[in-house]
Amino acid sequence: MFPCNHTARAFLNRREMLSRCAGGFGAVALSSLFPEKLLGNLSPAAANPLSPRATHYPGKVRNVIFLYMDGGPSQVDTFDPKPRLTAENGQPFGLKMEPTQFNNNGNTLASPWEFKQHGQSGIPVSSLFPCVAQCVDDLAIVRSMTSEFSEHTNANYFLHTGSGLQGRPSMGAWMGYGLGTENADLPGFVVLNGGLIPPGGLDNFNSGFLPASFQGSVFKPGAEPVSNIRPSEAQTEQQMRKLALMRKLDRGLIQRKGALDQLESSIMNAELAFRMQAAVPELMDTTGESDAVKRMYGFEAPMPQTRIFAQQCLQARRLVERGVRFIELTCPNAGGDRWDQHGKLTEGHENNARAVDQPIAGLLKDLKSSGLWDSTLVVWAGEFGRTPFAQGKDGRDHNPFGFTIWLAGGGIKGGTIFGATDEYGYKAVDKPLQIHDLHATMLHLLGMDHTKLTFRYSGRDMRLTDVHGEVIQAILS
Amino acid sequence: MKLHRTPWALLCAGSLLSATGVTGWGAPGSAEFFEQKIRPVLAEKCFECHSADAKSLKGNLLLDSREGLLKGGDTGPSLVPGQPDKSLLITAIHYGDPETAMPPKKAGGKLPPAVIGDFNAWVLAGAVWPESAGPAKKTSKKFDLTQRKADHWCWHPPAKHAPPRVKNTAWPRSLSDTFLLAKLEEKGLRPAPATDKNTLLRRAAFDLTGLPPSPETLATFLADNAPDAFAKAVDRLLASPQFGERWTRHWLDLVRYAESRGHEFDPIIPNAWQYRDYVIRALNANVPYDQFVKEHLAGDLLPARLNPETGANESILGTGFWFLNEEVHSPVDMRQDEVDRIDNRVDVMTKSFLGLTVACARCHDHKFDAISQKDYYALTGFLISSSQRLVRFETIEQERKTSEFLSVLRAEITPALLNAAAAAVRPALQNATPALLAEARKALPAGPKNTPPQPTPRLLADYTKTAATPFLQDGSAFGKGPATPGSVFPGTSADFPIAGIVTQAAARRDHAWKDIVSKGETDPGALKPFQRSGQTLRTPEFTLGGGSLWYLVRGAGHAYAVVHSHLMIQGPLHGKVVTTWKDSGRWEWIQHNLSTYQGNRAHVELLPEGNGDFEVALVAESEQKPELPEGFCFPGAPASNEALQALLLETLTAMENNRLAVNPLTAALADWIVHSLDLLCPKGSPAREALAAATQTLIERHNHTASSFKRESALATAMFEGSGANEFLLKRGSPKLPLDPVPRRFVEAIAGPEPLATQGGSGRRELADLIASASNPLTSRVIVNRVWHHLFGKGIVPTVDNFGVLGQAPSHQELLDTLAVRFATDQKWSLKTLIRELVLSNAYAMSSSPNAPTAEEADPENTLLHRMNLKRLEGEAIRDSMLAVSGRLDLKAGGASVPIYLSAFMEGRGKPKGGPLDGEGRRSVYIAVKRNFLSPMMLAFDTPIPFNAMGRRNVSNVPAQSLVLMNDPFVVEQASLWAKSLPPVMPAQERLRRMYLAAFSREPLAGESADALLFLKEQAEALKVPESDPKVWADLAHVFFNAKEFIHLN
Repeated sequence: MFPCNHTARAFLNRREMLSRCAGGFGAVALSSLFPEKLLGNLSPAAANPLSPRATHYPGKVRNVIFLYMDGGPSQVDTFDPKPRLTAENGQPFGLKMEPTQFNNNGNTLASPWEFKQHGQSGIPVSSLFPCVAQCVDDLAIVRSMTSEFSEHTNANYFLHTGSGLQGRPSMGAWMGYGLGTENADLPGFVVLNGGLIPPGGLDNFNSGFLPASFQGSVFKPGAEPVSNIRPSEAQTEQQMRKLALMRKLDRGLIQRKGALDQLESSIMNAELAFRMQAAVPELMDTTGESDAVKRMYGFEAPMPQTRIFAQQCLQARRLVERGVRFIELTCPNAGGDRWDQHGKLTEGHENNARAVDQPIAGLLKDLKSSGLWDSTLVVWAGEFGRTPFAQGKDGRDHNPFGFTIWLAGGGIKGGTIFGATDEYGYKAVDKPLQIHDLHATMLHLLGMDHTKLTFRYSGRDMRLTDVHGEVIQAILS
Repeated sequence: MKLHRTPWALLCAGSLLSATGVTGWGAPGSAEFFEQKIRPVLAEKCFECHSADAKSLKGNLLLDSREGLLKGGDTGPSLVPGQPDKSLLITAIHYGDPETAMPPKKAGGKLPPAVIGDFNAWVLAGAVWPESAGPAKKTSKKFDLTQRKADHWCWHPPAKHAPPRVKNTAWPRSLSDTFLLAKLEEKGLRPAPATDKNTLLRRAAFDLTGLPPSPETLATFLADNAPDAFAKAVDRLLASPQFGERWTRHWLDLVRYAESRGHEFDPIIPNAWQYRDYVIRALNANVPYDQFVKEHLAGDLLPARLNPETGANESILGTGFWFLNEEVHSPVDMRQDEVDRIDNRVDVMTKSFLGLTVACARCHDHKFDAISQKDYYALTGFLISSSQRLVRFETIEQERKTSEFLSVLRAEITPALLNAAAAAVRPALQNATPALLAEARKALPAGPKNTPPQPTPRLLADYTKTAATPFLQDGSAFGKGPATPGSVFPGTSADFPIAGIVTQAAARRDHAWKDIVSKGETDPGALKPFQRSGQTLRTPEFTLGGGSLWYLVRGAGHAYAVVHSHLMIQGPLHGKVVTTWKDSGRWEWIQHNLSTYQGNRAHVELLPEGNGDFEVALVAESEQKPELPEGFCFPGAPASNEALQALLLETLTAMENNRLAVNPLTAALADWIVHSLDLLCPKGSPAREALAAATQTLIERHNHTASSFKRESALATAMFEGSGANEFLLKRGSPKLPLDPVPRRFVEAIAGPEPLATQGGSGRRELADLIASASNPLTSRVIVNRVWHHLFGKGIVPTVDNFGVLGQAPSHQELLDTLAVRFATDQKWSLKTLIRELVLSNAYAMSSSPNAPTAEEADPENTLLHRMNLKRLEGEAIRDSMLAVSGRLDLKAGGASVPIYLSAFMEGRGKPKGGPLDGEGRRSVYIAVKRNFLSPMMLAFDTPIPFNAMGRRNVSNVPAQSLVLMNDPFVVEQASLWAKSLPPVMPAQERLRRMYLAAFSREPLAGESADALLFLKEQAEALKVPESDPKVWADLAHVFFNAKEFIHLN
């Protein structure tokens, strides 16, 4: 299609990329990220920041699917049963309360849902997640996650970037920066947007100070899933002729000016854009998938939001198949303001759980049956949990002091429970973790040492984990 | 950057300790005890981070020797032998304070009680450590400010250097050329040949105005063969209003310019665009850079630089940059929120003006630069000493002058007014009827009984005495100080020549200000209904005790308690920082319950509601309602009518002698008298007419002066000077660990360790003088380097925001220093002079084509500037040039931003009202910048996310850019408009020529014309339309937008 037969595309000026990286990595880290032979003789592949790169050590997985539960699901109503809440329901809360977002703290509030043990592991899951409960032997449930922020936006930035303020690179950008992508026609970091954009906006998925090539591309459901992906011309040929003339003009420029990196990479970049116009619609088109698979995901579920999330989950698998490195799913709008139930806990959490339960279970099963399980890490997390005491009468406020996330897939020891909150499910007391530990573990499974993945910015070698983070060894298989 | 609670030291990832069960060994003072019970624990739990062998030593603390413990780390000695309770080591292992708890949780967390007991016993017994254990092998990297300053170039003052000798004396045209050439010749290189005139003008036009030269401008330039043809063209570009717009966008990258605060609801930063327009005006007016810097730091405190056309205060607008940061709407931890906000301000300020990363010293002394942690907190003090306001910048200067004139005039006319009034009412009072006396009696109501006596409240502001409390206000409505008893406020008509008489000393909103009107956006959230601009009284900063505040006021008003400078009062938590009260017609104590904020720093802003009298006497903190002080309530009027009448007559005498200040009762009665003229000398009576006649001229003079400022003013976000306050040094940056306060001063490496001598207040003005000074080694170098970066594509110091050790070294330091010294002296800080000189150099005119292969090899990164750098246009310039060639560009200058066009992808909370696809054809600098709704096109082309100073943009190359150019509806629309703008009857070849001149500033080459004509033919055939159809030409225009030549500067 293009006369220029480059398969690799340089997104940054070669020298600039190298100088940025050289500024950020120590010599050791540099050689570990760029294979020795490429450093000696710079091929275009080495200059392409998106091309796959050697890891620090062999990784367990190649892809990550991040199921982002926007708003903060309640740990004590999902995966962390607390009988004491039932025993003391309606009584004044038994522990000292920390300041909350709404400062409208009520009494101890029992979970409205019943917990039952499931699977061989006998891990308890509440009746909010009947389908995921069937997969519980595949999950490593972390009950002792903590955050540093009680406000959505800070906590979202923190969960995504390891910093509570706007402007830092998202974890997907870091992973793309460290590993590159295996698909030349798609971005390495894709956000499958179910309809809700979390507080803090698109900056949750941005590349911050990393090169823009690594920013998350938001795919929406619908005819134009990616911004400007639909050709503006009525016929393909019309666009082809335009591109042909464009190439003539650009070649003329190179002939007159000389071969400048910047111009060459800009030309190659246009070619990728052209190919993306075809690759993205092909990705989003699920007509080729079997009805049985679609049913498993929930394509026929009665609730429209379940059907949306089912689409997202199936597309996540398709992105994994196509080598996209980091895929994040955001929730559909199930009413009741995300998982953020400051009131009407029962109604809100039930709707949110119904929207995601079957699709998630479908995804886990499908990954297993399609052979992608071992190379894919699935993470389920909100930005914080919720208070075991009521907000008002029937809500729960934000709780960053102890909440549940889970991991599944390659390298994960299924059927595990890690850490614990106190007997009210309020604060993590046994093996408390920080978001940094989750990030370190994700990078570790991808084959990267989080302390060595650095980028120099503002006079510092920046890391996703800042100066923190420990790999959660106990949940690894 | 959010401060993470870095534990005392980082994790030691050891397994659980096994020494716990060991008992019965030697006494705590013995060597065995140490070897068996202490050393293994230290080795297993601590050495990974706190030993000579640690991969990276944490907290500068060594625990592998007794010396190490005694010396301690960043937080001081860890061990005081014999005194466990004074040993940080023991405090840490007790886990009492989560900030210092050790070992870290993930290493197993708190040690077993028995082990803690062992350590306690060991320290108590003198912390015996056998000799053989050896001393520390490694000492930490010491922070030595003097040494670091001596070692790094940026702290040394720049000097003017004589131009170096060069062989090719014919080439240099400007001073900078000589310096560049000398380095090239050292390497045996030659500068690239000069580029052609077309390329040169296109380069200069984009660099100076961000727009392509019009074909007419290009033709004029090409036809001008005079030696100064380019100089003339450059002067025209520098003089065009588009110059300021272009360079303002560069500046906005530094100050993280945005018009909203991000976070959950993306609330507005009110009138942020006024700051943007201020920068544009300042750059176009070529305001000297040192003045520009001072205006940013302390424009509210400088003698006002007035807009020559409107009389508005320009300099105060500069201070708006401080508040362009993100803001959290309902922070659970207000103090943490404050230190994070202020961190961003210090970071942006020091990077932008000084090229220093001072914020790296927030948690510890700077790791590399001569910047101490004290330096950081010394600077944050300036910021907690000031807060935000919405200033009436258009009239503030007139208001100030009016207030001064009024004060003089009133002193002059008061005796005459009082005399006339006394004369007019004397007959009625001398023959006072019982009914009249009954009315007068109401003016002296008996106050509440002061029983039982209350404890003395803690006074936070006292406006009953002149100069007892710093008199801080926004605007001039409260005059120069508290109004004194007996002061007269003249009325507006001779019918009622006196509007009121002050009975108690208090801060009083002047009547002349009661009809002011402010226009523009107001604060979002709870402050929205307040008209605080121009009439706000501000108390000094204080620390809240119990939190029960009381305001002794008269008249309806509001109070806004600014706790830890928190501004964004929206959401569930902090609504109680504002309170409102109605007018009860008398002095009363209003309570403001701030008990939630006990121990927090705050000040209070008090302002009137509506047009009535508004007076503030005291601000106090007290558990119970304080007593009304003496003079604020009366024992009641005299019991007998005779006595009352006598008092009234005494009042008249006092009025005649202008001695109302002496007795509050007479002042109160005089106030009653001037309000009761209709009763005492009815309208139409000779006495009333005489009064009017006597006061007519005086009132007219007063009216004239009082109306000498415009009532209506626009608003802008600006600094609000407070009382001076110092910030604490926060251990590891944590507001939970305050140490001693650090007096405000500039960084020690430049200005020494002594506190800055100030004239009271924040001291920002004095700080501004130090920063915007020719003797500051950084300010002039940093700005000269920024200008160089924008013109040549790469700074002499490539890391334009970081001149520190981790920045890159200057490629031509002598050149940079010489330019910097000349800029601050000979060129009088004139940016246009500097830019002109650089653009007219021969280096600027070089071709950007790769030079001889040897040159590319010898200077692969073009560090020596052997040729011009090829530059990718910024997103703004790309968009603006599309508008320019399509004919859609509207060069209207300034004003409120055009709302951003919202694509289907721009979703989220706080979604604003969207604007048109083409932004009304306005230049990109005028399109709204909403933090949560940034322009996807600008983001794709690397416009920075506004979170920190970003003097050097990324130049990335992503498919999203090509997708924008290929498919974005804006681009397609402009291509179509461009095609339609071409003259309908014109040969294709001539149309093509016009398009080339507009888009690329050159004629098409023969081959290019042939290609384009063939394209038109094929496209017309495919679309089944004539070749002249605008659709066909729109496709050609679209191709030109996609050509790399369109988005690059050769």
